[in-house]
Order: sequence, then structure tokens, then C-alpha cells
Amino acid sequence: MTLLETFRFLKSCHRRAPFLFFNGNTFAEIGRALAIALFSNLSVHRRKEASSAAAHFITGVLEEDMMIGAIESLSQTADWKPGDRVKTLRGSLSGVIVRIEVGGRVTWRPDGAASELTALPESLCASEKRSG
Amino acid sequence: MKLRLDLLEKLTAADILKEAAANQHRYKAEPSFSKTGVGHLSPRSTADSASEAGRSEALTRKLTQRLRKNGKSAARPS
Repeated sequence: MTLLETFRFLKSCHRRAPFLFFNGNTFAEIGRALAIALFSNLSVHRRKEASSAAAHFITGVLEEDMMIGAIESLSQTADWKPGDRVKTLRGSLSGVIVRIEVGGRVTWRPDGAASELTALPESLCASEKRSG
Repeated sequence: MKLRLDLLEKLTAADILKEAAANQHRYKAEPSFSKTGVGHLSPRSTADSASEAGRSEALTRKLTQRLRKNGKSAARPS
């Protein structure tokens, strides 16, 4: 059984609702704990977001392709350089890298903003180029 | 990225129960997903986020310790 099949199975269990109360935390939390163990090689924040994506999928609030996309993007490591397009782990902000600081921190500018943000390299994901 | 199946093998039902109990307040009690086809999981608060990070770290540490302990006892001559 693949990991995706396991998550699909847990989602189907939640949907069937075998218990009168609290089906959500029964099945979503199994998925979350599996994800925490399986993604232990990721940094804390990435692991937290990956397990959260799995839990949201199992509870029926996140589409399958979005969960797959989120976990795939969190699993990628990147050697950042100025000009690279990046987004936050949850994808709420995206922008472009301005410079790499001496300590390794990344300074980047969100799209449409004049201000710059500083982030740890592991707290950013590669973002696809905007069309247009 | 390598999936840590070795750590997964050390995960117990008690570990999952502990996680579920800690996150219980974010779920709806009634089986709304089965009735409406729309699920529910409330967004985590700042406190939730902080405690989730701590628990995630603690669980990984615990699983790694179990793996090491198991490895040592397996290596011990019978």
C-alpha cells in the first residue's frame, strides 16, 4: 500500500463515520502521526506543514492534488540564489529572492510589495514562475 | 527525500492517541463529513502551532530513541 492509498483509506474511514462522535480526530490524527514519523528527515516547520496537509486531506478540507503538491514542494531542497522565485511554506505569499545574507538567511521581496523580508532557507519553497 | 519507514515501525497506538487527544478541540464532534460531504478542521491558533511543533519534535525524538534501543538489544548476543 502506498502512502497516498493509506491517506485515501483514512479519508474513506472518516467519510463512513463508524463512530457517533469524533471521527475526524480519530482518522486525521492517525494520518498526522504517520506523516510526522515518515517525514522526520524534514525540518520541524516543513514536517509540521506536511503532516497538516495530510490531516486536512483526510478531514475532507483539502483536495488530493493540493495535498500532493504541498508535500512534494515541502520535500524539495533548493540551493537558493538571487532571482529565484519562492513562496512561504503554506503558499500564502510568493515573491523573488533579492540576496543571500552572509549567515545564510534569505532576503526576499513578496510580489507587489516594496518591502523586503528575511527568512531561513528551509522556511521557503520554490514557486513556479508567474504567467503574464 | 527518504521516507522514515524505520521510525514508522516504532509508532504505537498510544502515540497516536496522545496526538489525537491534544488536537481534539479542532474537530467537530458530530460526523458532518459523512452527512454533508464537507469536512471540518479548524485553523490552528498560535498556541496550537507552537505546541504542535513541540509535540512533533518530541514524537520524532521518542521514535528515534526506541529505534536506537531496539538496535542495541538486537545487536546484543543471546
